[in-house]
Amino acid sequence: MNDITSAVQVVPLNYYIVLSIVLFSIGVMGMLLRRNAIIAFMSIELMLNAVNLLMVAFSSFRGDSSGQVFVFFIMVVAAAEVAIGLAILTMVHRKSGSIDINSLNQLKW
Amino acid sequence: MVLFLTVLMYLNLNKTIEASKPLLIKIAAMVSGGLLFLVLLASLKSGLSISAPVNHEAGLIKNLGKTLFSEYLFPFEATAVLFLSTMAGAITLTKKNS
Repeated sequence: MNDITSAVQVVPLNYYIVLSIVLFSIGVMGMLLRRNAIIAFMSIELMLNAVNLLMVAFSSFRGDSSGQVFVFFIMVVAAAEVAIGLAILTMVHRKSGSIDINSLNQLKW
Repeated sequence: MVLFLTVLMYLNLNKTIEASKPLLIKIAAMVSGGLLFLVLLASLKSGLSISAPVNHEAGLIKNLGKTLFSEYLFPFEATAVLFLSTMAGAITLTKKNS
């Protein structure tokens, strides 16, 4: 418990990077494939969490705690974004009756 | 993270009424997502090495708190303001009076 850094370093750095690449790609694909707006939000969250994982891994391997502090900020900003996004989604659902992303094309005019 | 799980709980209720994209767009999305994955993976091939003097106490909550409240004090306060305004905004947007 006293030596978290070496506990993280049991797994090689490349494995962390590959895992976060996989998570990020799943997020991008979910963003491109689905039309449900909630799933789009979940994909965004997945991408942000992939970056968080990468940041914690790098910060542990470098022995610098700034990266882990940045992860806190990313989490806070993601929470704020999801809260506002869900509020906007509620309004869209109230107006158009669905949460399909294509119903947002009325923003064009 | 709790929000994430709540959304997951809601999703299974209305699975049948979801429209899907046309097949061509789906294939294009799969191909471009796979290409992105391959490109990111290929960038690993050049190899990277982190050789820094390792401070073995970087992940401890004590040092995290020290960094957070000394070096990043202003961003911390700024996120507090951001969060407060987010709460106010979300409640204002979803209020049902108009």
